[in-house]
Amino acid sequence: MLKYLLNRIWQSVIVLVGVTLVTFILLNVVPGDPVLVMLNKRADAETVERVRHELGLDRPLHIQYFDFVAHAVQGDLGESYFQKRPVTEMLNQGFALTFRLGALSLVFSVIFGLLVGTLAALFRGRFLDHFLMFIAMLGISMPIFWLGVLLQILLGLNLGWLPISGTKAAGWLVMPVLCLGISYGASASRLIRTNMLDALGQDYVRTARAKGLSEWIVVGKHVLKNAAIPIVTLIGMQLRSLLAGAMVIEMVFSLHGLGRIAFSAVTSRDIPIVQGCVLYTAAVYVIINLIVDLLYGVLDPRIRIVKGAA
Amino acid sequence: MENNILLDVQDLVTQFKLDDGILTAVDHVSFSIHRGETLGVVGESGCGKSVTAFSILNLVSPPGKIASGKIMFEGENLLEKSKHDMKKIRGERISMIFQEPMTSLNPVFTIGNQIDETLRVHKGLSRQDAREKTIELLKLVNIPLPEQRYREYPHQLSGGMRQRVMIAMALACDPQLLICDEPTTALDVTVQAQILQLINRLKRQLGMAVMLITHDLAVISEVADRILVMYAGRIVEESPEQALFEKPLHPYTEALLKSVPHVGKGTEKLYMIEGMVPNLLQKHEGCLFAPRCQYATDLCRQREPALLQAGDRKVRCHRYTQEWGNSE
Repeated sequence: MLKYLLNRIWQSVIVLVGVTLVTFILLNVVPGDPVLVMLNKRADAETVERVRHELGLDRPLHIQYFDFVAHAVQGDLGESYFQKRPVTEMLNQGFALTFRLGALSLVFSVIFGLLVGTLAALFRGRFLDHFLMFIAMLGISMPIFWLGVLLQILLGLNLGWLPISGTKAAGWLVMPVLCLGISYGASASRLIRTNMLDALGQDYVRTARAKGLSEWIVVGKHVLKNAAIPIVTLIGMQLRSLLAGAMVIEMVFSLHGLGRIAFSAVTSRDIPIVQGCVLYTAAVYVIINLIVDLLYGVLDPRIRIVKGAA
Repeated sequence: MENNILLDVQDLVTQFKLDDGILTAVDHVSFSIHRGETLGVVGESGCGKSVTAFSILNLVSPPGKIASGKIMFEGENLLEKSKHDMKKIRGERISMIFQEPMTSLNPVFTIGNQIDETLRVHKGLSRQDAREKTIELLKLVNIPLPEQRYREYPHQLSGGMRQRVMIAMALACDPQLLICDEPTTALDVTVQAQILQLINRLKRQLGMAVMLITHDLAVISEVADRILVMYAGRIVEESPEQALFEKPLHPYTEALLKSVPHVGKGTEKLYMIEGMVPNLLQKHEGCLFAPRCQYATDLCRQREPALLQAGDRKVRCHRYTQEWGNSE
């Protein structure tokens, strides 16, 4: 188990290095000189050269990259070109908000998905099943920004229950979480329904019923733990799009999260911030993948044994 | 004699509502099981054996439904029981083991957990007491290293061991009736014999009745006291074990016996019953076996025979009408 974990961590490091390299190359290949953007193209050649030298952009590319990596391993991602603040400080702030939004939305969507998916599976083919799956279809089909705007109009403007944007008023997180949670919970519910149905038809469910267990134990224990394995995969995969969705939601609700920071950094060619954002996001993906893989072992003893032997 | 009857199934009809009609899987089936007796039920796949067993536990899953009949267990009609009362009977007074030991155990829980569960639900035992009783049960079904097996998962055991675990689970609450649905079909022949001997030994040791469902006549001959032969959802013959093997009455039973391969008779061509099991979705006239029967007459094709009785034997065939008279 320890060997497996160390192996995975080592793999994760390679992934992260690869990610920084690809981002670095891409940022230097795409047209648009950060110095020119910064100086609004009005500065003379001498000033441009001076700023370029100050930022270290006149050095060869490989030197720039190694310099970045050398600092990055020490936890220093450089300074923003424009705001002159350490990148890590800015990103930590944004990440805290995005993480809160993402985690709460995840919890909401899992509860929503489990409830809807399980109920639909238990009432398969009946009215409740069709009704819930229709709602889920709506949730999946609605673009997330549009759902955000609809909620803003309904809950914010018309009913006045919740603040429309920003982080100042109480309850500011409710609408963004609702928005992301419904969207991802809806697609989760469809998969959960399928997996519950699959597990419900298995022989061991018949055994559990023949043992005289109540339907609660049959579904809540025997079916759910088996259905949980593919569901965990889905949730892991969805977490990635949840992060992307969080970025959209941050724009809609004017929240200064990682997404918003990344967006403005890309448009202004603030290379250290863009690189920092990519690194943070990649790190989150790698960690999620690791957690999902470890969870498999917890849920399914058959996987645990294979890994132990490997 | 009457008091000795543990289970009395009367006129049971179980149907499946399918898109292209209603399929009657169990058609007016009546039989009884005495205390401590082993009743064998034989027939081809799809003849309604398993559905009959599931009907007894009221576990027929939709679109299947018990349409009519009575299932009297110790004088009480199980079909009139509430869901709650039925749960108390399943696993405690009537247990069941299944054909596929590979898939009948839940792969993500330990053996111990799955047996404990039955004890805790029905007997209200504490975790510790349930564990002790479970290990005792594992010993009872001859599982070596029971303490270790207790913590293991189904995939760590062989098919035969898993079926032993299923039996231990079924016996957890000392049931009065154990229903075995093709318990040895998925196992090797040598393991088959061990499992059958185990069931036989436990039956005597614990004094329970066994309903053994199989398509394998060799299995039945080892353990059954009395045999029911089913064809297309109906009982076609009922007889004590020895009498059935010595002189089968129904042409179908006769054909079944003929199609059992014998070791050492390799030169002969294996006997096969011609034709197919009738499609139960279609309407039939006359005896359902008539199209495959070598003795079939015009009468057989026109009118369905009644279940005739003489002594301890019953048969559904026109060949015995004159001799036995109409007794259904």
